[in-house]
Amino acid sequence: MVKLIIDGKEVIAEEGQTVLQAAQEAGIYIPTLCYHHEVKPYTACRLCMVEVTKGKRTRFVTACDYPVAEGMVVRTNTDKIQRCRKLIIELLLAQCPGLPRLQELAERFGVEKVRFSKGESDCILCGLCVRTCQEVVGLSAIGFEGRGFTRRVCTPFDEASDPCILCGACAYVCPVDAIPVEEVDGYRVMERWHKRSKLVACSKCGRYFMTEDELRLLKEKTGLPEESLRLCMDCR
Amino acid sequence: MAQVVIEGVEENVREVMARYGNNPARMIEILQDLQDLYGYLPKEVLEEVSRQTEVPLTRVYHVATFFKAFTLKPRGKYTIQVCTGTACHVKGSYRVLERFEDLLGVRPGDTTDDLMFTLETVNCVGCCALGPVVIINGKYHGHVAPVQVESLIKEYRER
Ligand code: SF4
Ligand code: FES
Repeated sequence: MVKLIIDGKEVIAEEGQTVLQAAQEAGIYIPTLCYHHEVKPYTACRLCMVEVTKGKRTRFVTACDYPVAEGMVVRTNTDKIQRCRKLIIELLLAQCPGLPRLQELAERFGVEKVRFSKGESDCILCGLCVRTCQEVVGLSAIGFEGRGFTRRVCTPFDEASDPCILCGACAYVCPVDAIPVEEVDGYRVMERWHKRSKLVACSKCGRYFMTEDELRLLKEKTGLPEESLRLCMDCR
Repeated sequence: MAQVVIEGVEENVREVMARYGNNPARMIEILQDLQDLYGYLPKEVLEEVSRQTEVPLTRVYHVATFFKAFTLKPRGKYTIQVCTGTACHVKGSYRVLERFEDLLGVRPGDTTDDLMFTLETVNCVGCCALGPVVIINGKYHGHVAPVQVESLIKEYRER
């Protein structure tokens, strides 16, 4: 057990926890974009920046990967932190001016105007989709391309990605809703990954509940008979 | 885009990988050697590397697109590098470049359909007194004027 102070409140955390986890458990809000508790911290967005004092030294760190330590003093909402967050949101908004989710954040944190030249991306390159596909789904069907200005998230060669089963996990975790999933005429379609797969209807209630690609993988992984897998969660 | 026939991918990849103890951590060296072999990194080669190293294709693809030294497009027999460094720029290298673009019908970074020429720009090659400098497959041409571009291309095409 580690005792630390976050925003003047004494917090007991477990060894190895991050400042973000400790804060969340204590009900203290720290904004995040690239963090999800199911995948490893990546520190891409820097939005979770906090001020940490250990002994005589105060520094700015990313809360999502910074480990707690005995006697540490954390401040999550100082003037400097607020300025820092505003700048980060401003920069992200310059890169992706059209994202409603970022515009909401800008409003919430009082970012009034963007002083930088505007890009036209719809992706903040947080990598959550890529990491979820790799760490949670285990398929690595999507990834990064290039670096610097030309870095982006895509499928290899911008072609339909073989391993992709259209599970939609990437769309679910994307903090800015940049990955649309559509269901049309009995198919699930994900334009961003150039992929579509036929939907499977539950053999009992008839509701579409997964794609044929998902079914194929499930069969492979579980070795269960197909009839049992063709039942949706509610009918099982 | 011109079609290139790619052969022996499986064996070539196996051979190169063996050179590096079949260690996927040596991905950069593996890709470098394969690029030396093919002149670029064809899609089939990257897919085979992914299969044999068991590194997801997305990762192989990221490495191959991350480094400027790798190219995923076929390269021409001759690489034309037009210096656009400060000194050459002042001496009008952009006009030389424009002339190459017009005559070859490609932009810097691209290759002509007949796979003869790849056009590139470089930033200062250290012999500014010779500007505008054009390097073709390692051979330096100094004081290149736009009017000379046509005969330069002709010279190499007819070799
Ligand atoms: S698509 Fe969404 S989740 Fe993926 S990197 Fe871009 S912003 Fe992040
Ligand atoms: S949430 Fe910590 S850097 Fe993005």
